[in-house]
Amino acid sequence: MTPDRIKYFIEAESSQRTETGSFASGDVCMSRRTDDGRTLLTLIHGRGSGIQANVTASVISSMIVSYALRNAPVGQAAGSVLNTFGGHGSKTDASFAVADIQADGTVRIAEYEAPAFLLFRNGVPYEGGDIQTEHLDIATGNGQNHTIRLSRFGALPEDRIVLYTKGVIRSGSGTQRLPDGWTRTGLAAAITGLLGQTPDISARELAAAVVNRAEANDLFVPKSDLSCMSVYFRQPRRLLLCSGPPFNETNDRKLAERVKNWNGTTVICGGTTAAIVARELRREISVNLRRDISGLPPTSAMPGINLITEGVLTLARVKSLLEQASSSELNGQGTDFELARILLGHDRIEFVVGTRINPQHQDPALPVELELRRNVIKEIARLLETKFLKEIRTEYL
Amino acid sequence: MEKLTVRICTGTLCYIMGGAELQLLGDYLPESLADKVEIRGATCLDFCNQEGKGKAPFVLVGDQLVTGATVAKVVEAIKQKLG
Repeated sequence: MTPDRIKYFIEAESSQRTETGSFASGDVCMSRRTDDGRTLLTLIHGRGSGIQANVTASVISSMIVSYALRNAPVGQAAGSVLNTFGGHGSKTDASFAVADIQADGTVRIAEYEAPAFLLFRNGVPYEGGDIQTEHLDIATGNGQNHTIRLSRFGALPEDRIVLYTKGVIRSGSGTQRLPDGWTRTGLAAAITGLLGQTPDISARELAAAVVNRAEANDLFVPKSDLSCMSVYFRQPRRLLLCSGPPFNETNDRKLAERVKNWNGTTVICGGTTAAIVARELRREISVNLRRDISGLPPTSAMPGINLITEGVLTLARVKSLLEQASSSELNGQGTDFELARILLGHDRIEFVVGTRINPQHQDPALPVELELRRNVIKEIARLLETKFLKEIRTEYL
Repeated sequence: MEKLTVRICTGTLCYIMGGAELQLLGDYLPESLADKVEIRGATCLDFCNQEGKGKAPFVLVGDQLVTGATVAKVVEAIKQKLG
């Protein structure tokens, strides 16, 4: 991870609904961050809905991502998929859209039988000359010809890309309000309206809003699978999370300086850690002595710090929440949920981990087994990076 | 008259050794004592790492340390302090 050379953060999120009555969605959304700083997104729509469509879409998604991770030309990936599954008209056909976004903002999108992506610039749809488009013809082994639409452009800060499946723009078909369905034009207008109301709406909220509206168009009984992936090129939201007293007391001042000089949200996990920062920065700290629904120890408050929690018990709970979460949307009450939501609501997270161990925490007679703080944080960082595509930096003191 | 300050350690060790129940202290204080006492939380009093200080959870009743604290022990210590 090399966040320093990335001008902005690329937030990529998806939202989905399954066709009413179907056991599984035939749409698969996958996003991956590569070691060389690229962001890969795939949105696959398997023909129909249900298990077969889901399996087809899942395999195609994995194939495409595998090719992309090896920097293979998209034509090669598409050809392999079409030769394996057949194209339009076959029993296992699928439409797909693949976005390959480099760290410098260069975007390449390949689409087969998928509705054309939407690019929003300055809050309105953009289809201008910055987007270079070409068509790639592929002949499969059975003699059929297929066409892949390739687009390439350089993203600018605050740009948004929206990928979606046909179900979204067909939503509402046959209703009095939308006899021809929502259509791409209707979708674009709706997103323009959303951006006008909330220019800094997150990618996650935008994708959810699109799918929610599509479901509403279908009178809350989705007539097909609804999927939307949204990308937002934005100023990164930065979070500093400090936990653990420094191994060497001489670094207490260094820890406090990190907090003092931080530009962004600050969280401290640990009473001893908070006390060190309060002492060094000469700030008052007060405990919110009330029972929390989570059953975790109480939070505290200090000027300049957004949240102070207890240490390892809270972090272990957060780790569990992140392991179980299937998306960035976490609804729940309590300190653990609050902290998890803060982590998921930021893009660049810096952990400052003090490695001094409290030997009392390792007493085998304790009624609760306490994990080592640095191991819990390491696992949280791994989950945030691989599952939620956050940019993580960890410093040990 | 200045109130007697009671500080309950809310550190990890104290919490899992019974400190969670101590947060309910205010509910168990007799009415006669309630307006004479200010109950506060402390992030970590660090007594667990000091030799000879006894067992967690720790509560400071004024300057008196209550070890292996329970609601009953703390209420008793408050009564003694306030005479």
